[in-house]
Amino acid sequence: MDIATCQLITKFLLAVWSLVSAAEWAANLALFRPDGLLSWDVLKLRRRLSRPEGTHTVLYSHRAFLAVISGRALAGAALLAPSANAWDFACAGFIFASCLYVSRRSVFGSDGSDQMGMVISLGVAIMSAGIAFGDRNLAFVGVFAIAGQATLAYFVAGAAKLVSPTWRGGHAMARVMSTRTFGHPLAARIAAGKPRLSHVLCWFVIVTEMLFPLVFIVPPTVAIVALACYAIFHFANAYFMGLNAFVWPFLATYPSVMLMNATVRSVLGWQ
Amino acid sequence: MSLAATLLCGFVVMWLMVTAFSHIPPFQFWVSRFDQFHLIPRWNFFAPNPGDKDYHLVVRHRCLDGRLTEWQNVPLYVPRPKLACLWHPQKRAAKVLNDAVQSIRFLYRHEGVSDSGLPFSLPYLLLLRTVCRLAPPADDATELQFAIIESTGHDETRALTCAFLSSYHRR
Repeated sequence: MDIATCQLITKFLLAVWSLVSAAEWAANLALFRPDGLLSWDVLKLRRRLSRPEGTHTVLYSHRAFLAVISGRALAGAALLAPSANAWDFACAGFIFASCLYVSRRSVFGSDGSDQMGMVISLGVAIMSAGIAFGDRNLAFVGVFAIAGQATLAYFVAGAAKLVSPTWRGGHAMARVMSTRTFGHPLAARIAAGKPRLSHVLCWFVIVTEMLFPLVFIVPPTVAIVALACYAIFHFANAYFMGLNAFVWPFLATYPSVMLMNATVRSVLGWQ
Repeated sequence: MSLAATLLCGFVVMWLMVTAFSHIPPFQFWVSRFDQFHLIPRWNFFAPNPGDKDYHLVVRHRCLDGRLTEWQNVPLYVPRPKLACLWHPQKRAAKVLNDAVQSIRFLYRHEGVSDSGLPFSLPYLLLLRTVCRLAPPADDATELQFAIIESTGHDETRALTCAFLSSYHRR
């Protein structure tokens, strides 16, 4: 895979995530109204904003939030164009800025999909700038950023579970599945009825997440199969846990991971 | 390698290193203190403590004669829809409540905020404002009190426990 193809696939997946996340935030606009759960009238009191300025009130109003989210959706729609173009940098850059804005404005309610969306948008912006200016090294920095954060995401998630007695003891899966927020009645019944299976699944998640860095050195065919398994893991999370927005940004890291696989194996003289 | 590529490469290496270090407890505090735009991702999904509770916000009122009303649920979000794997905006409100509860716990356990100091904290004020808006008071209500209820399980026999009980506040 070359960088241009990598950028094309990544920006398409970023576009899908941008459209879905913008639509979901827009559906929650009531949270940001003056009488909402995330009212700026309260959030402006936080420590680092102890001297609120008039501009903050306008900048973080629910109307400004809607404008930023609408801009994210438009930028996402523009990224659906089936070829690399001069707008890609601006659109990905805007999505990145919108991620910082939403994170700053919402304080509570963001999740890992928002973080990975931010990573992907920054990576695509750098890749697009490199392609636009004919600077292959610059484009590769974007690939490196995405692949690096993807590796940290999986490895840290696995390591954090490894130090947890709840995960090591095999209870985490059953407990999460027994909630209405992140669980599923069928999965909860299976986990409760088959504790041994639940235990094995907990360790399976820990081990597979921590083994993610190996995708950079295994043969490309093995890496593709491994990434397909990680993708199935995200689809399962979307179905059983309702984590629909995680699918797109995490799949968007895979082209960069494959490109890094080729680079690392080439540096090691393995291909 | 161009100057732009070199500078950006340096930035990305620093970003990855800070991200890695930010997951080690002694560095967590400093990173979160300076990372106002959440540029440093937190990747410890559902660990070390998995999200194993559902949270519900409930409120009751104290009336003029001292009588307490029944606890009343504050409707913050609706149950997860069947097609949540494709479209699930409801998760945001649930996550806000979850984050607010975790934030109150963090203030208690790690920042030493006392019972008298907690009502001045951000998550407390957000919840108080929300119950004031969403829970219509009895005609002669003078004060309100809210609580956060933890639950687990999918059927109606699930166990409920009180995770947090607020002070009384004048309406």
